[in-house]
Amino acid sequence: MLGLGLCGLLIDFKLDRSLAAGPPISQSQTEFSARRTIFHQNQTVDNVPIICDGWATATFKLSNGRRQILSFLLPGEMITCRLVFETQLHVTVDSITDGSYRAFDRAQLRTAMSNSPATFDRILSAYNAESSRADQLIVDLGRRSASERVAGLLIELWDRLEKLNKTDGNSVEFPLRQSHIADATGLTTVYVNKVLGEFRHEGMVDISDRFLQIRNMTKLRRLAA
Amino acid sequence: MEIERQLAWPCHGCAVRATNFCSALIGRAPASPSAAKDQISQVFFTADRNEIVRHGTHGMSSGPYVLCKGWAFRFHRFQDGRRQILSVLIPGDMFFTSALGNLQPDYAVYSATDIQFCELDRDDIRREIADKPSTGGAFGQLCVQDGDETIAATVNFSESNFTKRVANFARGIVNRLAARNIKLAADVYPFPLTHADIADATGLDEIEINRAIQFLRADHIIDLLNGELTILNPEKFEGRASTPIRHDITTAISHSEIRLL
Repeated sequence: MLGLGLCGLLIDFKLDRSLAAGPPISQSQTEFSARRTIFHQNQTVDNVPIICDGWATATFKLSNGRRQILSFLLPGEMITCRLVFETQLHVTVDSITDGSYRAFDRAQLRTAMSNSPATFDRILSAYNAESSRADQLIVDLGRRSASERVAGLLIELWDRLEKLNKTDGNSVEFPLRQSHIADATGLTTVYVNKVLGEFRHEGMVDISDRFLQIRNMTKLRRLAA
Repeated sequence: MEIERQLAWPCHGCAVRATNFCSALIGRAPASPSAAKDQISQVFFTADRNEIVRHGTHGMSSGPYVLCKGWAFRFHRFQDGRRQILSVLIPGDMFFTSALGNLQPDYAVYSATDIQFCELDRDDIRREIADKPSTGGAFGQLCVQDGDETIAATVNFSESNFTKRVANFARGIVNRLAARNIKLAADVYPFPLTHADIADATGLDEIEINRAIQFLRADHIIDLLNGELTILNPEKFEGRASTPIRHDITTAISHSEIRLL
């Protein structure tokens, strides 16, 4: 997946002279199947994995037995920027679809971060995006209504997928189940079903056959704001 | 907003420098009052309830900042006036770190009390993080700590017992204050937050906060009064005691459902 932010920079050294001066960063690619746990919470991870293909989730187990999806991981994204600085993973990473990830050597990545301002900026940018999504989740759970939460999630995913050129007109491939949306928004699947039904009835959104169609973007953005 | 610039460098007598990111930048004990000049661009002072960083723009200067004295919030404000506090900033906290990458903030920062804060020199900090492994490590630790606090806040919303939710919130702040050696006496900590502030941080309303604090006081767990938090029973406060915090799950669930509807 060359050209997708950090990954492209690290693989194609021609993009940054500072990186070209040093040795190549050790990396390995691993395939994963749909609906599998890729990494466990509290697992020691010796490298920094970046998703190449497919969708995954970073989740945190709650004391009440439920789980909170902290973020959906899309191609080109680090599982978490924290792995640049620490070895223990604080979340469980589950795949949603088939896919693959590329694991970069942590020490070499940190050296690249020191030597290459562009790498530093991309990691900082990824950290900022991760923090921003975490903040939005706090806003969702703290003050937003059910429909605002679901609308916010759909808009956030749409914007990220659009940057990856995955959208086509007003539709995009969308492998999430209602249980994923429920676990990401702190709602029950029954409630998510009700909200999506209302969205469909109002001509705003339609999710069917693993595709999301946004029929009224303005209205959905206004609800998510 | 009234913000005054101060010319004297405050680091020499700083009480929290040994416990925060500044120690990686300027050491734990600078030799002279001028030792921090290279890293700090400006020092500011402002009264309580002022907006320091505005959503989508910082305008005033480049940042990032370190809060030297006083308390502040990072928060999100809705167009209809609702607000959600994202994190409570205590002395020693670094904020607006996105300025290191020249990125706009997705939040605003508001002073909860009179505050003093320093603007760090962005280019100098970037150079230090890149060149010095100790500073790079300290920055990494800062990112990890911020992440942990965000997850703790997120997970706390799943707590349907609102007394426990308030206790968890208070415990998170007390742990951070203790790590910075900020306390007024044994088991007494500064806590200059209003009930509205606590409500906006925990996703509850002021009535629920009032009731939760009454429960916590009646159960001899903590007391919140006159800007101070007193731990009455450390074991119960830490959640280690056999007698749990009073149960109010029915009220909390019904209220939550009403809000969603």
